[in-house]
Amino acid sequence: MVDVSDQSPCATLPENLPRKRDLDHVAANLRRRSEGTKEFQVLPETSDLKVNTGISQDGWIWGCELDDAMRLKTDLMLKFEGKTLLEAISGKVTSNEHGECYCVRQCHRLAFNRASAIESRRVLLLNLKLLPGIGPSRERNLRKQGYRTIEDLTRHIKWRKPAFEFLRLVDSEDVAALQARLRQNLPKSHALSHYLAGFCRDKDLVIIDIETLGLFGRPIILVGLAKGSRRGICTMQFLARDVSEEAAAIWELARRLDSESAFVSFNGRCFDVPLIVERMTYYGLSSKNITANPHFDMLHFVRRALRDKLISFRLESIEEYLGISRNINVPGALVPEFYDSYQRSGNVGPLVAIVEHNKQDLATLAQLFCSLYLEWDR
Amino acid sequence: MDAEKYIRHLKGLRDYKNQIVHIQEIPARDAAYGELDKPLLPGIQGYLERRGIRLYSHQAETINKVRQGKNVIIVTPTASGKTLSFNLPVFESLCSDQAATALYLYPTKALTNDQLKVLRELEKETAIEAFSNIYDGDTPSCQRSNIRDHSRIILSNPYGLHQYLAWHYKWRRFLQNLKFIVVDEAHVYRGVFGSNVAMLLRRLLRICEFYGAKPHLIISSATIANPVEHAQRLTGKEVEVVSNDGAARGKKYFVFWNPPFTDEVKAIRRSTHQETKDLFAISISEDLQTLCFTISRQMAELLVRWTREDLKRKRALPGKAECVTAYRAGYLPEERRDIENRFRAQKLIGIASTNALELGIDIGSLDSVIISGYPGTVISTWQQAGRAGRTSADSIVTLVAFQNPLDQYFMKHPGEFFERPHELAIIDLHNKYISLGHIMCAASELPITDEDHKYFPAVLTESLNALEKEKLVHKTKSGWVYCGIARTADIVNLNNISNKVVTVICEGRVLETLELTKAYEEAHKGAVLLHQGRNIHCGGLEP
Repeated sequence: MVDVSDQSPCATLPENLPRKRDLDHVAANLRRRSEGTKEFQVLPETSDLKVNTGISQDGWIWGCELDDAMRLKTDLMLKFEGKTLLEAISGKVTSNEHGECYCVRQCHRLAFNRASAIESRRVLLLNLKLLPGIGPSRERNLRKQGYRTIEDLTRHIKWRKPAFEFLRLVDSEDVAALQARLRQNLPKSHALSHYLAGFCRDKDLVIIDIETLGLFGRPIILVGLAKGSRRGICTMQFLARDVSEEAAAIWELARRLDSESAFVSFNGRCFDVPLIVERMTYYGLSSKNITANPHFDMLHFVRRALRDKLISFRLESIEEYLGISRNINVPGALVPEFYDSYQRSGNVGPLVAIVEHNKQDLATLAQLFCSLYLEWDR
Repeated sequence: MDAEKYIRHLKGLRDYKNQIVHIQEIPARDAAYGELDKPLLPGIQGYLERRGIRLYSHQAETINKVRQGKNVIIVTPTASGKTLSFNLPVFESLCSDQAATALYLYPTKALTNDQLKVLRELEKETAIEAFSNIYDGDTPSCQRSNIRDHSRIILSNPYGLHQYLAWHYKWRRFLQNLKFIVVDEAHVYRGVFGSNVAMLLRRLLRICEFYGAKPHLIISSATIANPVEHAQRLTGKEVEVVSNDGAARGKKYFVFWNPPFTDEVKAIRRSTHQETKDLFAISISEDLQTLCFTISRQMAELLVRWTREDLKRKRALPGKAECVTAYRAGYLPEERRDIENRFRAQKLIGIASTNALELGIDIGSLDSVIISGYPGTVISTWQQAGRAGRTSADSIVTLVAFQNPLDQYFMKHPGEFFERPHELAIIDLHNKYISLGHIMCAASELPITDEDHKYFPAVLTESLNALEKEKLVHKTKSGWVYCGIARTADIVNLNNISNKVVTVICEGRVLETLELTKAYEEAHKGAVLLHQGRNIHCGGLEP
């Protein structure tokens, strides 16, 4: 680059280096402007949600939710005035090669009952249409002839070859390949894609939900993940106590992933995973290609399974349907504002709500992941 | 055409009252051709030969310099073949490196559309595949990832780039292989807008460096007084200038036209608009293909209406009235394309336009240009005048004066105008209102480190400190990181003009689009909007 800074802007303008005070003034202006832009709409309670179906699930909140949340923030800040993070949220500092962050672990006694590999295999093979060239009418005919499963088709003179090929793919239990294969014939929200999770081992299923300062191009402030097993689910949350801990928090997730890992998320295909990739690029963290991992995005499945039963597809509405209640809640759209209050005041109160919100999201996600199988069976 | 005969004709008209106060003859000139240091690739050479193109001196010089790896600014008049001179080395490079990519930046969407056509044609003719595409606000979201992943030439505008930089990880392939950044019509990037674009280009170059790319810059501009300085400020790079215009041109007559007095005692002159209308109608009735520049959108519309009436009633040429139309920003792309094509095909004889046609939209070269009122700068005047000029025939430019002191001064002292140098294009790299916002944007694109002093010299540290005080950036091990909650590109504007667009719907059909600020002036409730000479009564603005 040529340094042109020492030239005056032009012959007629005097050299005009800004004074420090002026810069402060401009920065304050930017801050004000940033407070004026919101990425969500506040809807009055009278709005008809049917009209607003185009809005993403985090794109709006009710007016009363906004009021409640602001009251909650004030209450929490009063309650935790002068308290340390440890006093407010029990957890411990964890460190890795990219720095430190704050880790909150908790185990929940929730049944993590999901389809087994045997059941998944059975459901999958019942669908003859998964073979290229078989449509609904051909499937009906084959059924009439007594071919009920793809396994039966291995005895069919014409379909034996593709049937064997498909069986081999199923028995490989390569979930990423199976997901890609299913997508050729079925919409990504199809129940069978959810059933593929039966082939995943508990330890490979990673339930993820991140909290951020905005939709894109802004930091991740909390990386939440959960693992389920017969005994229940355990949540691990990595909180950035300030933005300098973001890289370490992301790394805590990244280092737990390998090519077998399968994500369970809510809108994670479009949001959580791309944003994690974006931030890993931003910090120059080794970028494993996590976009290719198997991914069970519950938003897609919920939309299909419960489309007539829910008024919106926000996690809160789904909880209502599942009969889950929250004790403290901050709507996801307000998380940035809560964190910003913490950032500016140093008061840890708002963090309590964020961590609790994320923990609840993870738990709901785990339950949804299991209970949606019941919906498919209906 | 024979311009002298036409001027004699004007002077012989019954209504002529010595309006012509000066005629400047700009002599014809033969083409000067140039030589390349080494021949072009056969595919490209073949294309030139099929088209019968021999490179002018400025084109050859540009290609030589670009091939030597230099950053170049080309300053030659409209229609001198600037586009070809940077397209050829870009295509050559794309051909020898199958992964290479190039980014073309234009100040307006209309220009982008125009250039896409040119590039696609060149692809076809040279058999070099670049999958050229436009990527801007109008690009359907379903095509975006395909363009990012596969196009080797992408055309966009600064407003778009400002938004897309934050998504750079999705542009990895394109940025890693970026060999050229072409900045066309760079004289537009002056003043506040220019200073913003200068910062934007620094952000782009910084991200290119992150991906290991070192693109060359090719800049083209109308004639300005300080091309090298302007280009260096705009890009922060060493830039060499090419200005030896070698294109052939015919003789040009530059006529200064002062409306006659209607009341000599009170020094009141006849309306400039009426004089313009008369000149426009005469020029059209004499079969001269004419472009008339007006100072406002509304005036372009009114002028067309008056001229049509004049041609029908006064001159009894109703057929010619059909060959006159208006052209301005706001028309739908298809409508603009249609006007451009009909004008090139000589089916239209007259266009009244705002300065929308001042930039390089290809409408061919014309017999006559009428400039209704001094456009305010020497740069613009010559840009508009440059629209007139056939290679082998005379052309005429008429500047019709307003009654204001500046216009009248030039009418009294025409020599002053012709001796006047082009204005300086000014960019202020020290404007803290501008630089601070862009430093914040840069922090949201990649952490800012000490290395970045080369992109944002002088104010970087102080700016970061000020931003930190407002908790908009945070110092980390990786550098300064943006930690605000708004999208940076949303709170930093490139020209402080709202980018909200209003659509005008008439009888259930989209008629045109307007910027919100313009809509408040021209399409509010009860306003009468003019479109192609028709009156549109506005019912009101709806959100």
